[in-house]
Amino acid sequence: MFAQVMSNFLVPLNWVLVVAGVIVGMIFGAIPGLSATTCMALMLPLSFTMAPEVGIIFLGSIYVGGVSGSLISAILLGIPGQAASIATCFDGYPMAKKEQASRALGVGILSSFIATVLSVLVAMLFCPTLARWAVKLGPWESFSLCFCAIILVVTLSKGNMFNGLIAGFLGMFLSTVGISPIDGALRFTFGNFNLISGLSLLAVMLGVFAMGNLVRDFAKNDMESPDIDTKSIKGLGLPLREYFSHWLLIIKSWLIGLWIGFLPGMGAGLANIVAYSQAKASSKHPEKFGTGCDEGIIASEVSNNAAIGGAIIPMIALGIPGDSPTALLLSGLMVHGIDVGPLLMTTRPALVYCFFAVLLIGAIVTFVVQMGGMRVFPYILKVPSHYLYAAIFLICFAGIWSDTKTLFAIGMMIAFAVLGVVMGDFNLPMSPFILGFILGPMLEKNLRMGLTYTDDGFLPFITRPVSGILLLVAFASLFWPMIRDYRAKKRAEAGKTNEIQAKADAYEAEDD
Amino acid sequence: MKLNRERVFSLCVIAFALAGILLTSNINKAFSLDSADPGPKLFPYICSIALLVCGIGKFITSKAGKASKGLSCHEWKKAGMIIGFSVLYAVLMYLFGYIPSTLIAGAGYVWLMRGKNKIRPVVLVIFTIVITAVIYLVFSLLLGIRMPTGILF
Repeated sequence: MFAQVMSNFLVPLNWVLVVAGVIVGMIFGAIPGLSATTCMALMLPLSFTMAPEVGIIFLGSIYVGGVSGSLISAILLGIPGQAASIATCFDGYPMAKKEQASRALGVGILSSFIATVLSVLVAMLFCPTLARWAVKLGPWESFSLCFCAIILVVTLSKGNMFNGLIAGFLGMFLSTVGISPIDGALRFTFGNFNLISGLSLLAVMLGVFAMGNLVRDFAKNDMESPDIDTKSIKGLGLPLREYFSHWLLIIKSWLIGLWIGFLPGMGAGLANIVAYSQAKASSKHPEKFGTGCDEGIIASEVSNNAAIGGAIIPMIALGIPGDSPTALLLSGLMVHGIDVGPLLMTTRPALVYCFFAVLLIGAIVTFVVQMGGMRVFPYILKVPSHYLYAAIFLICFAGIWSDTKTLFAIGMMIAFAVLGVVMGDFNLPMSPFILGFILGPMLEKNLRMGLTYTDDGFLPFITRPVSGILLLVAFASLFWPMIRDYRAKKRAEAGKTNEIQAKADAYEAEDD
Repeated sequence: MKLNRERVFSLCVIAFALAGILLTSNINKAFSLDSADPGPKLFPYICSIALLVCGIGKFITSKAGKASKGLSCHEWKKAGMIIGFSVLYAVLMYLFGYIPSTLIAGAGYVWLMRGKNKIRPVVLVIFTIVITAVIYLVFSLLLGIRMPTGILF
């Protein structure tokens, strides 16, 4: 199998795809308003034409490049490219303003590299064990697992919890369009043959994530290209010995990122804030945080990249995406007809290890490109957004056409763009929606199988220990935000507002 | 009880859920594999009812006067303009095929989204031709996908 995996990397074209994927992902991750998720949605159609291994190489490279790329704008502009780098702004930007942009970028890039490589290695170790355990699960446990994942994502949504629930159930409802699983009945097709195979996954992804976000950004005038100081960017930044003197902080932040990334819904966006808070709380010089200190950048960048490895563990071992980028990775596999889930490790081990390999190689390529391209980044961020956004719109249209070759799918994509704008306008989070849409068929199939296998109806979903615990976790977590809000309200009344959370909120980065 | 935009949205969710319930009731079972199988209606029913409950929950918990600030009327017009132009692009693609429509759409999108930026016509023309050519070459020649040809040509 090792030879089979490595054979993919003996093909020169695959190396071109890795480098191209990393660079494109990095650019999208760096530009505020765009993200790795948007980039992956745009590139999904390209991956259709490739073999599954090649497609996953391409998408995996974009994923790694995108998460790492967000530190560039966080440091140079003080605007996080994605929620994953909010805390990087706190110290990265002040450091860059003190004419130490090289140092800030160097610390961030090195932290991203170390954390990604280590977390992927951990994922490689844990995935087979978790998958072996997961294949023993029946439909009852599989249903509860999917349900639990969606509810956990819902409960982490900002604002009114009902917004997250509406988004999740809407996604699930829309996944029922077309032929039903098990018996093949037609549902909500209205006699239209274009709907028989269901709503196009790509139309949903491109419409909601790519077009919807761009339309909203345009409407809100969030497209301006800011000025950047490029004079202070020179050299590699800092001596390695000085960097590794923070080894304890690196380990702590990495563990936080890995664990938070593993939990559904709690991706890099949360990990960097928690790790930053922890670093500040445990520092001997907390007063230096926020003024441009290495520790702040290390905590944020190590944790958000460690979340990559954490997030891919449930995706590979259980077939459950924890966040939007992993949902897109999973949909990339699904469109190739690959049955994702615990059996993936046994049926397609070469594909899985190819994915791990590309994440490791992507991390190395990202490191090299970022270190070598420090002086180029500001120019990427200066590309006029009206040209960039126009190009993305055109790519969306070509992409959706390549999937179904019907104008109906184009119309569907535009309709989902409208839905994306409306959802954004009413604060409906995208992650539960997309998770509901992807996991909906799996939920339904397991629900119906669970009900068919025994005569006890819904009872086994509660009485089987693993299933029962998962449902308990799901429902308990539904009530946790209420308790959290109550406690936060009490703390606010007592004048103990969390300074870091307040600072994070000020950036108004949407965690999707 | 005062209505605000959150509550109006909640009512839309409730209406959607009720429509979902109604449409689900019309689903015909293809065939029965097992007497215990709940059939194709169960899951859409669950989703619709859950949406209904959430819509009611949102309606109740959305306090009057505390509605979130969404897009302004002007911003909705801008969003509508881009969406409308996208529909026009799709129609042009249907009529004239991929290349002519994309040449028009590329320039149109840049023009619509220019904001206060000045656009040099030469740059706009070069951008439109290059982006159309690149996308066409990648999808058509590299990936072997036949792009739309249009009904008029």
